Formats: sequence, structure tokens, C-alpha cells
Amino acid sequence: MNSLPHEALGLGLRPSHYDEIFAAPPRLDFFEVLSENYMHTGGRPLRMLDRVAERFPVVLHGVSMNVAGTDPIDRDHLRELRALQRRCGARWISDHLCWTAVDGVHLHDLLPIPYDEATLDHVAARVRRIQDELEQPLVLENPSTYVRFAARDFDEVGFLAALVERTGCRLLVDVNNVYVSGTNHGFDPEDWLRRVPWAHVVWLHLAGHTTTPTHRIDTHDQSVCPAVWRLHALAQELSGGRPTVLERDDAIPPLAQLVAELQRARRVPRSTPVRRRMGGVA
Amino acid sequence: MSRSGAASLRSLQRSFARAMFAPERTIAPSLRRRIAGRSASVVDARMAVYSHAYAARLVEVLAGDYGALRSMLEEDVFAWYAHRYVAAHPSRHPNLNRFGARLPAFLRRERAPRRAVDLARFELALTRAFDAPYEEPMAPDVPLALPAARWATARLVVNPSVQILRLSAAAVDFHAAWRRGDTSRAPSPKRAGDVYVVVFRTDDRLGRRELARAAADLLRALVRGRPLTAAVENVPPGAPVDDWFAQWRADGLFTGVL
Repeated sequence: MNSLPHEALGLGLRPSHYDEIFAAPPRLDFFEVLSENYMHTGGRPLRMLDRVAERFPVVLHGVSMNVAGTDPIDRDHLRELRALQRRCGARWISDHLCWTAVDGVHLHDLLPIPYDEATLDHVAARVRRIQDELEQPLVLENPSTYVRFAARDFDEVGFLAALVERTGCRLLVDVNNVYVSGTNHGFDPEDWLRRVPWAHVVWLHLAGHTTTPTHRIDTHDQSVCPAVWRLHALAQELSGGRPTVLERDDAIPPLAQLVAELQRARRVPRSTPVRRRMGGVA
Repeated sequence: MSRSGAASLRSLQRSFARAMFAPERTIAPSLRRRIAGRSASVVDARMAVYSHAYAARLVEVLAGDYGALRSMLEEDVFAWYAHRYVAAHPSRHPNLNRFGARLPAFLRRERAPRRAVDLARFELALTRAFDAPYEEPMAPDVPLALPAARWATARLVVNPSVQILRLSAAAVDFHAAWRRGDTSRAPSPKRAGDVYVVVFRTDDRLGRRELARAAADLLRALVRGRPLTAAVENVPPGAPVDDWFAQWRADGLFTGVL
């Protein structure tokens, strides 16, 4: 019921694009809405969202649910999310596998967790409570990470798969994050993608990142790099096709430029054998 | 999760947060032991991604909300205040919309120049108007049509975005210059003393308008819910009350009559 067509292409909704969206509706199938930008406000942002949601399907994507946190679950936040979902008719509510606050202080970043049994127990219990509150499966994204912890019963994708099994949550696979974290921690992004429980994946993310001499940073400030496009093709092959969202949060170009960049995702020939198309990841 | 497991995760998150708050300090050995492998310098560099992003993101939020103030103070001074504010006021809300709300009071405590404090108050009022709930204004050309007997008890419902401020004229003039793009250097204040300004939003448009002191007092009384007759009673004789109301209704400051 909530599904978007597998070939659907969407963009992260950004206020700098409002005028372009309303002047000439872009060739897009949906928008991904940053939940927090439209919460705790009664003003212009909500009116803009109303106008977008009249024209396009939307999904909600948040950054502050503190899914893997140790503070109490913020039920007011979840209630407001539900209200926002009802208002804009969003098909899914998503956030990240991370923690974002401790002792009541919000750090406004997607912070890493140890992938051990004790953390899995903790996160699974919280996801179940969040889903009960939201009355729907939560969609969780793999974040980019820059450190990982020594305590490890799983790797990241193994942890996500176990979480899906225990909670019935859905996944949002950010292909750029797989690539960034793979480089930072020395794992093979292709192998990561091959182990995803694809039946539970609702959509994919694409974005650009910054490369430093020692690591990559998920900056969303530039175009998608060729290696990430190749991983996206592999993800499409393995999944049988999933909707794709392109994210851009800094140095945001005109809407038409992002729409043009995203069209590349339509050109992925999904029947092409994986090996021939991938050619390895740079 | 067992209690010890939860406590261990909480302890990890607390030490991680401390490392983010104080990037100049070395990472606590207890945290370093829990981060996997590689050399100490690599771990430091990776933790710095988080700590730098934390401060940079919050300073960027302040810069976005207080663009004119940033221009007035210039980059280095604004950054100095902003970093001190970030340290003094950690974010307590999942939404960053509210993060900068205490900056004017912070600047006052820090003894920043009055015109900087007032400019921050002005920009905060504009942000609040931007986020205020929307209510349909009364059509400006429709008469209030109240019987005379109702004036004693009738209250005007004021647009929720309306805020009335007393500000130094220098701050207001700077903001106007900044909006025109005159940011090459701070313009010399052309006016001394204070002015009264009403900030509001109608549809998706932010508005601001200077008021005479008596008009500001009257509008404040209406915002507080005083009945029309009682509110108008305090206006000095000869004041152009009809003109004020006509302007306020044209600006969409009223949404109904109770």
C-alpha cells in the first residue's frame, strides 16, 4: 500500500527549490521531506510542504529520533511526526541507525554504535516501541561512520539484518554511505550490498561525499561519484529495483541540475549481469 | 538489554559526547580503548570529524538565523560569540529551529554593543514570525461592523506572528541596509535613539513597520487582549487612530473579533 513504484525517482526537498517546483513541476516521482524542518513550526515551511504534497507523493526522513540512544524515547517527537505524516500523507517515516542525543543534549549528528549483542537487544527493543507508537514499520538508514567500536558481534550489515529480523523494520540503503564507511573502515561495499535483506528495503539514497587523504566524509555537497553510481547499479540489480532519492544539502545547485543528475538512475539496465556492469569499485 | 549493557552504552555515549564538545582535549583513554584499531592519530582525525561537525553545524544555524548580525559584527567576532554560545547553550531540542532563541539574551549578558543585541532581537522576531502559525487575516476592506454597544467588550484577534519591539534605530537601519545588500561595511547610524517596530507575517511574506510610540502601546494592548474601547482610551488626543487601524488591517495584523 505504501510502496512507491520500483523505478520511482525522488529528490530531498530543499527550500531553495520551492520556486522552481511551483513554477514548473519537475520530472520527479516523489520528494523525501526532512521531517524536522516541518516540525515545531506553524508557518511558511508547513504551507510550502502542503503545496508540494498536493503535487507529489512524499516520504519523511528524520535525523533526530535517537533510535539507538539511551535517553527515554521522545514520545512527543513521535506524536508530532505522526501528525506531520497525516498532514502531508507521507507513505513512510524513516530515520537512521544511530544515536543523536544523550542526557537531554542533542548533538545533531548521526553517531555510531557498537555492533554487539547487547546493543542489538537495546536497539531492537527501542525500535519495537517506536513502531508501536507510530503504528507502522520504521524505515532505518545505514549512516556514514568515521569510527567503529572494538566490541563487535556483527558487522554493520549483519547488525541491520538482525534488527530487521527482530523488529520487522524496513531499511533505507544509502549507497553513498556504504561506500564512505567501506572506505573508512576497510570493508568491501559490494559484499555489504550482497548481504542486505533486500525484501525489506524500501528505497535507496544517493549523494556526494568529500575525500580527504585519510578518510571520506558524507558531505552531500557535490555530485554522486562514479564508484557510487556503480554501487547503485549493483543495488538495483540485487534488489530487483528500488526507488532512489538523491540528497543534496550543501552547495545546492538549481533543481533542474539535480533532476538531470538523477535521471542517470533511470538508465541503469537492470538485466545486465552484475559483474560486467560493476567493473569493481574504485 | 541487561542493565550493565545499557549502562555501558550510556557511558560510551557520554564520553563520545564529551569528546565532541571539547575537541581541543585529548580523547579519554576509556573511550579510546573502545574505538577499534588503527593508530592514535587516525582515531583522533576520525573523532575530529564529529567534533568539528558539531560546532560547525550549530554555528552555521546561528549564522543562518542571524545573517545581519553576522554582517554587523564581521566574521571573526560573530564566530567568537557563536562558539561561546554553542558551549554555553547545548541544544536541548531535536529541532534546530529553536537553537538560537537565547542568543539576544546571551549577547546582553556578554555585554555586546546595544545595537548588536537589538539587531539580534530583531532577527529573532523575524524568525519567530516565520514559524508562527498561519491564520487567515480579516479582509482589510470589510468594515468591522460592530454595534456601538459591542466596542466596550470586543477584542481583536491579533495575527499570531505579530511582535512589537523597541529597538535602537541603529539596529533597524543596519538591518535595512543589510537587506539592500549594503554589507561592504557597517553604515553610519543616521538616527539616534529608539524606534518601535512591529514584525509580522501574512501569507508567506515577512513584514516589519515602524510605529509611533502611542501606536505601539495601542497595538501591544490589543495583543494582550484588551477590549477595543479600553485600549483606545489611553491613546493621546489627536492621534491618527483610524489611519493606524487602516494600515494594520492592510498589513493583515488582525484575524477576527471576539
